Amino acid sequence: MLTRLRAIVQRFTYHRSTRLTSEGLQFLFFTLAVGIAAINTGNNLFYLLLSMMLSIILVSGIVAEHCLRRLEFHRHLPDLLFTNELATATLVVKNRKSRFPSFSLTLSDVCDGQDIDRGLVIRELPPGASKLLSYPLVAARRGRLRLDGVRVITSFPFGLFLKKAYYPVAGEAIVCPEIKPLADEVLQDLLAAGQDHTAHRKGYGSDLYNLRLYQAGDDSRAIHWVTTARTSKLTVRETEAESQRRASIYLSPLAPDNLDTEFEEAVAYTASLVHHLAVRSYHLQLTIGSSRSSFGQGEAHLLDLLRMLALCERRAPHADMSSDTDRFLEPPDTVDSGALIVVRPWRGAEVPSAPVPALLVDTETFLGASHAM
Amino acid sequence: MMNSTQPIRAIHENISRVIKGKPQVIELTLVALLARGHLLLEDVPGVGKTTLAHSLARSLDCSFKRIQFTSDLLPSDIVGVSIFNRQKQAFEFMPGPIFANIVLADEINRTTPKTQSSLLEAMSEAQISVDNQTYPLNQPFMVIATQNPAEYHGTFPLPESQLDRFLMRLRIGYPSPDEEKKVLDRPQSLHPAEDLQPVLAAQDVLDLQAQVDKVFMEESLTEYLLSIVQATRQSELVSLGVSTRGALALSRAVKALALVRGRNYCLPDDIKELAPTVLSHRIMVARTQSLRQRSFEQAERIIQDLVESVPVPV
Amino acid sequence: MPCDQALRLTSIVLASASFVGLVLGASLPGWLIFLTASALLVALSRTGNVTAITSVVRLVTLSPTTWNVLVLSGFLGFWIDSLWISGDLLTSGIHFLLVLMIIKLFNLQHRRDYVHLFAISLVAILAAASLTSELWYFPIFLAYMLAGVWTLLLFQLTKDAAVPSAAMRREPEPLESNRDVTPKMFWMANGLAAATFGLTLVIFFVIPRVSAGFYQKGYGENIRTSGFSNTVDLGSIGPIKRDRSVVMRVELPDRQAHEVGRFYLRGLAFDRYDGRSWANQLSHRRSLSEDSPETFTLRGSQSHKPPHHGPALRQHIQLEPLDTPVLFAAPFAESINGRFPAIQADVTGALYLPFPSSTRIEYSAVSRSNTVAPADLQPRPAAYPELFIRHFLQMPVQSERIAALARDVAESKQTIYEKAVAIQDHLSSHYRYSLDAPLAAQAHPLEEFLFDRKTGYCEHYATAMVVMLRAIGIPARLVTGFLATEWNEYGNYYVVRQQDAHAWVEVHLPHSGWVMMDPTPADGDSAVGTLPAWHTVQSMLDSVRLRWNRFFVQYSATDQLAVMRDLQTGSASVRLRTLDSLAALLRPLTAAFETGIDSMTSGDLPHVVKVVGILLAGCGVVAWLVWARPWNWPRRSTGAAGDEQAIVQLYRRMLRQLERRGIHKPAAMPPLQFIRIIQAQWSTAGTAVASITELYCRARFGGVPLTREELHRAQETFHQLTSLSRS
Repeated sequence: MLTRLRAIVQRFTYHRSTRLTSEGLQFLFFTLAVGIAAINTGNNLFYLLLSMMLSIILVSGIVAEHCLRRLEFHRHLPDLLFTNELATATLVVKNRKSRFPSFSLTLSDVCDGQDIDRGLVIRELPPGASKLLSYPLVAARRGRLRLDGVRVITSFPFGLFLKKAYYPVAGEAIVCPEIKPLADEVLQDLLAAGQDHTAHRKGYGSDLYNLRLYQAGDDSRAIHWVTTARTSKLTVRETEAESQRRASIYLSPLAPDNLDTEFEEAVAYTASLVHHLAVRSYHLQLTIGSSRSSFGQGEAHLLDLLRMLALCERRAPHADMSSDTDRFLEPPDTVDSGALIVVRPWRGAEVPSAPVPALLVDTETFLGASHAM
Repeated sequence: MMNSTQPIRAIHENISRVIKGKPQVIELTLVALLARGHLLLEDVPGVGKTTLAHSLARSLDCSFKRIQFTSDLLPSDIVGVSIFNRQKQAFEFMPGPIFANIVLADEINRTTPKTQSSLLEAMSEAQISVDNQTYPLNQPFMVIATQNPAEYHGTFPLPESQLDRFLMRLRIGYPSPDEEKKVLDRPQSLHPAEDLQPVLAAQDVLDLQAQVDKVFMEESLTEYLLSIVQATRQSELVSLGVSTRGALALSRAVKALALVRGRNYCLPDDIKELAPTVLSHRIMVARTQSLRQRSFEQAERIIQDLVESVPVPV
Repeated sequence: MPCDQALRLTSIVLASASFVGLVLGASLPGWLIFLTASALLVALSRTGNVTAITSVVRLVTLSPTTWNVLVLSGFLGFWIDSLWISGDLLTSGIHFLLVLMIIKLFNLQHRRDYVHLFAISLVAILAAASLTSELWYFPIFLAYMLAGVWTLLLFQLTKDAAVPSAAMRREPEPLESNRDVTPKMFWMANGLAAATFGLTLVIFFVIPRVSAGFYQKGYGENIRTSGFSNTVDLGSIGPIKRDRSVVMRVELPDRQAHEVGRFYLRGLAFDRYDGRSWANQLSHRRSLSEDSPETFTLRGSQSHKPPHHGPALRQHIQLEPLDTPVLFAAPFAESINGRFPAIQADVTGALYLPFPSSTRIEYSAVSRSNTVAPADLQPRPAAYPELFIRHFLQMPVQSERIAALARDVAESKQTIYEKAVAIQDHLSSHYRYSLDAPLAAQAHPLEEFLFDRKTGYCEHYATAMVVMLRAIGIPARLVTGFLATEWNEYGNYYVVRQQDAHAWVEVHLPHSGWVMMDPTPADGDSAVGTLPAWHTVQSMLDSVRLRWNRFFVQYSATDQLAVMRDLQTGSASVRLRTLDSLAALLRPLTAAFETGIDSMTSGDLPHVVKVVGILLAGCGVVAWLVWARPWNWPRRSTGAAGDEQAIVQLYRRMLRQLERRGIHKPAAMPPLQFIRIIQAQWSTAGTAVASITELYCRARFGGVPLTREELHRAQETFHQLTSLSRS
């Protein structure tokens, strides 16, 4: 019972608070002076003036409270952000009152109990109307960005008090590490490796590879009718397989506590790598510690990989690694897994050995790479 | 003018014998049909996309063909191929499944862009060119394409310019629990649409389509529609707004909706209702909003917010 | 009008209101008034962008340092003023305040200047409150409150424009950068002011009053009366017989309006006449006992206790500050009820305050008049104690002729009472009333009055009667007081003015005690006639003044306690009382209305036409405002003329009706969606709204005009809708 009461009181006080402006302070001081004068002299006209000032204060409180009631918010946050990159977040305010407008609203985001001023000011919000407000948002760290709610402040009607109200409107976004362009010499090895790997071969595609006679079991749709008409023998068209560029990237999450910044740099480097390759239509697979994605291509797959990178966490190496043994340290079984790139922030970590051409990226490389911008 | 409501209601009732509990979806399908547009259904598997298309075709006494798109589908599988006939010593054209009135293109995002474009070009031009010969398509002609939103593995999402060719994008969604129970209680047949009888002839559909052009849209409504389109172009949430083709499509769809609802004039309600359906797949959400530039829920939300910010003409 | 210009305007109105208050309350030097008024006018014209003034002002613009120097010199002037020139801290303070206001009015540029002006005007209105308690303060206060609320509101609304936002502004707001005062904002500000006023009244009446502190100042000067000091010269009342200033207001709660007539208010009694002046030798004062708090009772100061009393008469008296400590009441006062530290009485029954009051006072009195006992109607000899003979039978020298006259007049009568009545009748019928009697610089004013001039006024009549009565051995004394004849029907009270000062006679009968008699002819003391309309206005104003004094200036803790006690005993009485006071407040309006009707029936044509015309114009304006609500008109869009406009107007009226019932249609909601909202919130109106909307849509968007029947049907449905009540 007591806890419920406390919760109710807390809800009221948490969601509403009042502060004095400088003009309000002067006004209160004057009211006090008039009050003392009235009590001292017993002059009823002083009491009249005192009542006027008190009623102004009361009316101000009531109207400001009414101004802040029944507002509805919802957010448009981009679901994926990048560190240190400007994004636009939107807040939609709707005045649910049926009669009275709200004036002079200042909105700020509440994150972890802190108010973040976004410079959003609404002069007047008519009843039933909604307004779309956008503001720039820059995330500083990767991971999850959570916004707890919105705080509305108004100093309407008389500018004497600042009334604040809190509306819990949650919003969450995932912040990916920063993507920077990579130096080309790093990738030239990769391209070379890829080129060796792909060979012209038969497969599904659109380019002509070969024309040969029809054999039993061939797909009848592959019959090339023009040649058949010319040679009067059923001729089948064979196509060349489209070269697939594939790569598999392995990021080791093991790093001791003092190498935290190196780990973040490694994640950022991996993200840039993934982005760089995906843009060039590579089929990519990402393995971070014990989580592995599928091979995939395209924008949606890129976003999935970036999301993995945004949420990955550094693991400090334990004495016994038996339980944490990554099952992905074994070489991949599929032949066609493409090139393997391993990013290792800590030299002590074990990395998969692979028969396929691999590129090992150590701290110096990616730190050096990032400095070479 | 008055004789348009009776046949439309008949089709509606006919289809709803099979598709239960989704009157808005059936209405919008009819709108797309009467507006000479094509439909994109994006939905989870197994909610009745095929059944819808099949029921529509059966109600109209029109031919129906289903194309299942796979990754190895060739354009000739859609359009048809000229085969050399040894007896006649001439090429003979074997028309592909696209030569039907109602074509269901199932899982259109599973096939290569080359194959996709062969279908989409046919949709826009209403004719097929094979080996320097042009073959016109049937009238009425409507393509109902489906996409499965959950799978990304091995898919080729439709590019923006191709999405523009669809009049509207719909979701069917799961039925309500009561309706679902009715579906289960019904005697289960493999092809429920087979039992439907046609209620309208193809020529009647063409007449109705001609009537759509005559529906009156008042000047202030046109301005209202254009101001919505302008808002999509100017909003900072949207990097690519609705094109003039989109505005035209919305206008046609609004007139068709008015006709379906038994009116020969348009109302602001029609525009407001149809805007998210017709416009949300035509915009590109700004990069700052989402990296997934074609996130449809977000696009729909944005269109709804923009429409709320435009005042209705009184 | 843009908001910042409106802010300037209201700030100047605020300053003007407080300035007017100061002017009316304090006596300011002429140059200061002129300077402040011109500063206000210049500031006003600058707001209105009158080019001539602005160009002149621009020439005279001084730098801020010069203004600061002026402020400093003003401050020095204040010290010099308070120490040497006027000697009073308050007046010199007020002068300094006005100088500050002048300087600030020329300097209204930054936002903090407005704050300063607000503070200055607040101090000014406070000073005005301390200097006066007149009725005009109330409208000044109302104007100040209205201007204050407006100024605060506009100040806050313009604050957003002044403060640039820290982060970048994405949304361009070209229309709002120079915001205008919209009609909606106007009415909202007025609504706020009205709410503030209501709350002010509530708080004023509820706030607990602490008893007075150590700084009490009287307002203004006391009214100088004559005739109420211990010695009164004959003829001293004369000069004030033309003075119309109000001395007191007397309410009689027990009497009805139609029963009133002349009302005597007793002040002092005099016993010794030396031929030129009257003196009160029984002026030894004794404090009255306080039976219950604030009730002082007069216990049998007379030696006789006559058995025959008239009914008890209660009076509520509001007395202006006079220069005499005498308290007035109807003869003869038995008890006084009021907030006084002490009340004294002398042997003759006159009541005094310890010292003359410097403020207006309110008190109640209960009096009983003495009627003539039947025993006195029989002829009986009378014997008087020595006190009586010494005081009330004292005769001035050389009054043989008067004695002879008295004996002549009273010869035929047997009883003392009849003799006194005979003398009274002789005086009132044989002598003419006139205010033109010369001053008492004569040797024998009374003989002159009785035998030569035969014209005089109340003093002469009364003095003559006393002397004549004493000459035939009847104890009599002169009484000065007031004779109230003016009854204010709006407030139901007597208005007593200086000119109502009167003198009459008290005769002592053996069994009845002191009985009042007035020899002055009745129609003598008539008030100076004024125009009936002006008189009505004056009466109404006076009754408002009475209420102002009663409910605002004199409101005290006892009033609050009385209200609380009433609340305890039952709310019915409070309700009745508030209803009564409300009715009393509204009575002037009804009375004005009745006079209007009267003048109409009496056929006073131009007056009637004027009144009726004004009334109709007023009603018309109010009705148009309420019905048409011009602030609600949306901007007209182009559309076809004729019947389509009619249905569109009907639809808009329907929307306004629904808004009045609390259902608002947002701008982005199309008509059919709105029907669904109506059906959810107010289902009984759903069909009506649906049919009107359907016709509207068909006409507006369908391009097909409605038929007459359909339009008619729509109008009928609309009327049905207006008659529905929302559940």
